Amino acid sequence: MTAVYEDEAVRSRVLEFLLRYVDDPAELEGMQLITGGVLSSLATVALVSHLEKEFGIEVDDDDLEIENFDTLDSIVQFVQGKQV
Amino acid sequence: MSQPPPTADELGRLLLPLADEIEAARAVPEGVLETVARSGALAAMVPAQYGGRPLSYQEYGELNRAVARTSASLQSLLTVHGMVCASLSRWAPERTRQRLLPRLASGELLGAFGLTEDSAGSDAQAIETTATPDNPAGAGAADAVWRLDGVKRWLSFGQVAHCFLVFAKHGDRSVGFLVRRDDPGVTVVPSRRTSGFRSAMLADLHLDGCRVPADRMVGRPGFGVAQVASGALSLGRLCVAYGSLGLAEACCDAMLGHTSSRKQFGGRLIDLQLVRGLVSDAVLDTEAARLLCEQAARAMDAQDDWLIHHVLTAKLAASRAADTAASAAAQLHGAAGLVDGGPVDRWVRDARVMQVIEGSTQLLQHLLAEESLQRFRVRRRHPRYPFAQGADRVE
Repeated sequence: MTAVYEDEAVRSRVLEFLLRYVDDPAELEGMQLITGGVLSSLATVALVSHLEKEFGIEVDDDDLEIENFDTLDSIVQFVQGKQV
Repeated sequence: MSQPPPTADELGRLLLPLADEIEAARAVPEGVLETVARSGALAAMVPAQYGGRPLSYQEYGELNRAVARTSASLQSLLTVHGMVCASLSRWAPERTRQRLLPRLASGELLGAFGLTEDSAGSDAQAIETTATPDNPAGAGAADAVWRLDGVKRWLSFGQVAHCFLVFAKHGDRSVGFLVRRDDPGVTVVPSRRTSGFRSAMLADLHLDGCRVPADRMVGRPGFGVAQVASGALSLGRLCVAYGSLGLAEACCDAMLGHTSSRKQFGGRLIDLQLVRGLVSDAVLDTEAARLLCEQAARAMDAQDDWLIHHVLTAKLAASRAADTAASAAAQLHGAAGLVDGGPVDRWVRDARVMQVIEGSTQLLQHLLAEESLQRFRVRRRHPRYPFAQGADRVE
């Protein structure tokens, strides 16, 4: 059975993953990750794969909208929506 | 009851006698393509629900290795067809999966991968092919059509492929489309002849007002290169790594056979110390490449967080091993290794290609340094995090 995480738990787990891409955690807050160039193409692939494995969700072709992955907040919101 | 598919080594043995024929023809004969299709190799990256016979990445890697021992050109079919099948299975609309995947799995359709352009090689985001919605007034969503314009270069098996996964720009966002050879506005032209991959039937794909239905969009605008192509390239790099491994193994066996039978200075070539240096360096690089290939395949099977890192190291190491082993084989075979179209000459030319395709050595070095920096950041925050981590120790 897949665990369902609370908002803060999702946030801290996503943050932990994204910290590998920046030297300063402040760079992630409110930053546009994809359109702002923080995440490369390969990093975007790794992020989607990580979210699927970490939270037991499936990212479908319909989910591939920039708005779902472009900020820390939107990623958390996306994962929460998938877990419902 | 259908026959079980051949193992990688069985397929390799089946193909081996055909190596010279494939090279001389500068093409893969239809009968050979049928043999590969019958083996189930073309169904390996298609889920069972769409008629596939899915293999693990380790098993698919071994198939690539075995085929490359005969022909690196033919092995490149497994690379690109596998990339197309995997991309469609993952990101195409359900209707398109149902319609195309069973035919790709059976080999009735062959798939090719179209990313490279005159303006876009290592910098894939620089593609200039355009994708524009092209809907007549009053058309509903079901009739939505996109128009594609541009030229894709160097598509392996493009000369005979029935469909092409291509990437284009819609505004500043990239998007993937599955284009069929019989779509209006599609022209396939054989590419200029190359020294290596002579039989890979390379083609350029011209899209001139090519109109494709919206349900053949693969991924969504913004994720064409960033997700679909980049994800496919991890599989492609794994295939090239295993193909390089097969090529390197063939070179090592050839040089061991030759140097242990040829007599010079009153003894076997292999007994000369400088010869042993060439042989042992080639074997060392080949064995190291095998370990990294297996590690990368295990990482992909486990969907490990560091799978991209492992695939990059495998491709870098294996393509270099192929180059080292092919150079040593050529040096040790003397004039016999220079015969145009002979196996040693072919390995030298094909090994060069392995350091160019699916990301050049220099691009992969760039990416691997970036991945290493990411690992370092994790290690800096968690001092007990290991420097390197095999995929069998998934977190």
